[in-house]
Parts: sequence; C-alpha cells; structure tokens
Amino acid sequence: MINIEDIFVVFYAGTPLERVALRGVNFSVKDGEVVSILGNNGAGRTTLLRFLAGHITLNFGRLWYNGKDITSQSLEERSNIFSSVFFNDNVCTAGDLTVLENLAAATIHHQKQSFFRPAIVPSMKDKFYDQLKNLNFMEMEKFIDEKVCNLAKPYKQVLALLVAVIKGAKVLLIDEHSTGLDVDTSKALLETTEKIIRSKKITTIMAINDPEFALKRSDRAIVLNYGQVVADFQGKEKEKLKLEDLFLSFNKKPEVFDKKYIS
Amino acid sequence: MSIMDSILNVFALGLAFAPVGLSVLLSKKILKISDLTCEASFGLGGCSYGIMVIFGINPLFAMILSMMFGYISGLMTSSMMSYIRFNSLVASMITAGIIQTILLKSNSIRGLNVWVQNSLLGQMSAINNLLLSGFIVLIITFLLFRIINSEYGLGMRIFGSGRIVSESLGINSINVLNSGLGISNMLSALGGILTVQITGEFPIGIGNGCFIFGLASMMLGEKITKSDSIKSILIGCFFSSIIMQCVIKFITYYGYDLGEEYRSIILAVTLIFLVAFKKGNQELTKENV
Repeated sequence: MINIEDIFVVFYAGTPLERVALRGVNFSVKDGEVVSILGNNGAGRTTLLRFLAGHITLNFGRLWYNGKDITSQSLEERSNIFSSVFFNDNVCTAGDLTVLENLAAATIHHQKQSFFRPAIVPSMKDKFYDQLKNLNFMEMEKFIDEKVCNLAKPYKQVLALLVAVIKGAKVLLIDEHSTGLDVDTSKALLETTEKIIRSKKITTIMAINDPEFALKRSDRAIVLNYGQVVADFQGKEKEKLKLEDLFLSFNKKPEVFDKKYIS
Repeated sequence: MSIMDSILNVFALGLAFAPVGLSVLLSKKILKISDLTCEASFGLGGCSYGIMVIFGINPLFAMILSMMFGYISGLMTSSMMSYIRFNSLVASMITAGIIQTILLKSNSIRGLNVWVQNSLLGQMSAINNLLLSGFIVLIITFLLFRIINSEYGLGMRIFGSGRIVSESLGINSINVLNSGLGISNMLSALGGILTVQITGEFPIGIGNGCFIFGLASMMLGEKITKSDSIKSILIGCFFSSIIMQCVIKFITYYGYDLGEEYRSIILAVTLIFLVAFKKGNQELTKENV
C-alpha cells in the first residue's frame, strides 16, 4: 500500500521563478489497484509521477510504502518498488541497446552484478522471444535484436512495460504513454497495458488523457488541479460517474486555494 | 638499428598504443563521456613505470603499480563528476592538470635523458618488444571483451544511454562511473608503460595527443570492421592503432621529416579526415536522419 502524505514540490524555490507544482497532495493506493490520474495540462500529474519514481525530490511531505518511509530513497533504491513508463521513452529504456539487452538488464536488476558472468546467455533469447510473442503486440517479437532507438514509440513503451514485469516492480507508474499515437495503435497499447497490469496484478498509477479509459478500465479516478487533488472517484461513486461529470471536475477549484501560486 | 628492427618497433609501438584506443572506446563509446584524463594517465603510467624501473623495482611490480596510478587518476575524474557534479570535460582537465604538475615534479627526481635499461623479457630487442606488447595487449583486449559482455559491462552500456535509465534499472551509477573511468585510465596508463618499455625514454609530453590517437583509432577500427558489435570494434581498435602508428612513422621519418613533436597535428588532421569520411558515407538510419 502506498501512502502519499501532504506532498509539496516547489521548483526554483526562493527565486523569482518559483513555481509550486504540487501543494499538499494526499491519497493512498491499495495493492493491485489501478488508479488513473486526470487533469488539465500543468495540473501536476507528471510531477507527481516523477516524484514517486524518484526523479525529483520533495520540499515537504512523506511517502510510505507498506508502512516504510521511503521519502528519502534515491531513484536507484526506489527502483525495487517502482517502475516507470513515461511519455519521454528515453528515461525508461536504454536506446543504444537492443530489445534483448534491455530485457536482460531487467533480469539482473538488483543482483550483485558480476564482472565476468555473461549478461546474455543463449536460452534468454528464446525465453524473451516467447514473452514478446505472447503479448501479441504488432509483431514485436521480430524486433528482438533491433536497437531500441530505431524502434517506433509504442514498441518502446511496451518494452518498458515488459521490463517492469521482468524486474518484478511492485508499482507501475505510467505517464501519458499513449499520447501522440494514432487511434488504433493507442487502443492496442492501452489494451496491452491493461492485459499486463491485470494479469500480473501490479499496482498502477497512471496519468492519462483518455477519460473514457479512466472511467471504464481503472478502479479509481483522481483529478488534479493547481497541484491539488480536486476529485477522487472510487467504488460506487465511480461506477455511477458520467463522462460529462468527470470533465466538469477538471476545472474544479481546490478547497484551500492560494492565488500566489497560480502562474 | 636495421630496417627490420625499425619495422618491428613500429608494430610494437602500434600495439603499445592499442590500449589507448581501447581506453577511449570505453569512455567515449560505452560510457559516452569525453575523458581527457587519458592523456595525462598515459604520461603518468609511462613516467612512474620508468622511474620505478630505474630505481630497481621489479618491472612487473612497477607495471602493476603504474596501472593502479592510472586507475586512481580515472577515479579522481569520476569522483569530481559524481560528488561535485562537474562536467566531464572540466573534471578531466582538472585531473590532467594535477597529473601534469606531478610529472613536472618527477623531472627533478629522474634527471634528464635517462633510459630504461630493464625489461620484462630481459634484453630490449625489437622482437622482444613486439612479443611483449602483443602478449599483454591480447590479454587486455580479451579481458575487456569479457567485461563489456558481462553483467557489469551491460550496466556500463546502460549508463551510457542515460543516468536515469541506469538508476531506474537498479544500477549504481556512481560505481559504474568509477570503475568505468578507472579501467579506461588504467588501459591508458598501460599504453604509456608499453611505450616507455619500447622506446626506453619517458619525456613529460609523452601522452600529448593520446586522446586524439585513441579517438582516431577507434573510428578507424569501426570503419575497418564495418560493424557495430563490441567484438568487431575491439578487434578493429587493435589493428587500427598499428595502422595509425605506421602512418605517423611514415610521415614523420620517411615523408617530410617533421619530427615527433608534430605528432599531434598529424593525428588531428587524420582525425578530421576520418570524421569527414565517416559523415560522408553514413547510411540513412533513424539515428542520424
């Protein structure tokens, strides 16, 4: 279970460029839950996910995972728990390496890496080929020996998902991974994503631009505005929720509102 | 010295410079860091080896110790990059400056024009030099190949793709940077040791132009093997440094008699030529479009 307690992230604090991206975000996520984070551009969704992954540090607040305070843990330490699939695919997969090498890197995750033990053994290729084939995503298995930088964006995103599964991540952080794709590919990517997270029962926090997906496929929908949670739909409330109401909540003002921080 | 001995010595020098190519390969191609420390660690390796041999220390022990000095110089650069967050160029230039000062100081210890009389293989004949360089460089190339293909090597290659990627895959980027630059500079120091072993002298400016040499031989190696695999590039580096050394010797001795001090200019021109040649012949791939 993840507990996010009163999180504040301020960029360029104490300078004329100061900007508060998150101000007092509070919520908990249960194990196996799929949470969609919605909101307008600049609402703080990406900052929240980047903080959870360990890319940026907090100004105030606490982050707990299964009762353990992990606020001060680095990106490397948190990689045991979190795995990310971000819009910027360059931070999720190693572009200079092949698909096979990326998957092999996930298997040696947090092991004591040897100087002489080969990273890739012959049996790995067949194993990963089968895993890619089972995903049934746009014949991805054909590109197993291809360098990741030469692949199209959806392949990179699926690879990042698979890396998360192989390295045994407990929580998956997804940030608008289907943005910028054509309708069919986007649909296929979302379906594959759902297939992976539901089959492996991975807790997922997902910033998404598709409210329909949030409404129908996720367990819970959280709406952010001005760096605060303005709506949290779950359980029966979410089941009864209509798409129009969800859209309306996007522009809802936070209860405690400080004009100083609006940019 | 007979013509045969000269040719053998050029080949031996080529082999002696092969570790420099491997050093640049590790820092520039794999870790994606422009590390100028290798220029200084080449000189540091060579000079410390020369001084130790003159003072009667066992050559093998002196070699290991000098390689360790090279490792430490790499560690200095990586520490500045990791803990003080210096840019790689700035960090490596500071380290190179420090080492250069130490080398200048070493002038007063060794005196001038002192020749290294001892050798690992006894007498310093041309064939012995060639055998010694070939044997050591072959072992080093094999070990480096094993390291790059190992789990740790995969970590290094991921680090080259980006620090965030490597850390999100649970790879300790500080360790990778330390060991990567350490090994890279150790190789460079080995190049210096072998050069001193062959030439028998160790001027302070011995390492000048080393980085350019390494870069040029790495690129020539890529061009020769026409492959992107690590194995091919390593083998290419091996042969291309011999070719580069032959070209330099040909130009400096048999061509226009420019002298060794113009080696850096020749190297720079060769490098520019190689880059221009490489860019002109690039195939259109997604990376370079």
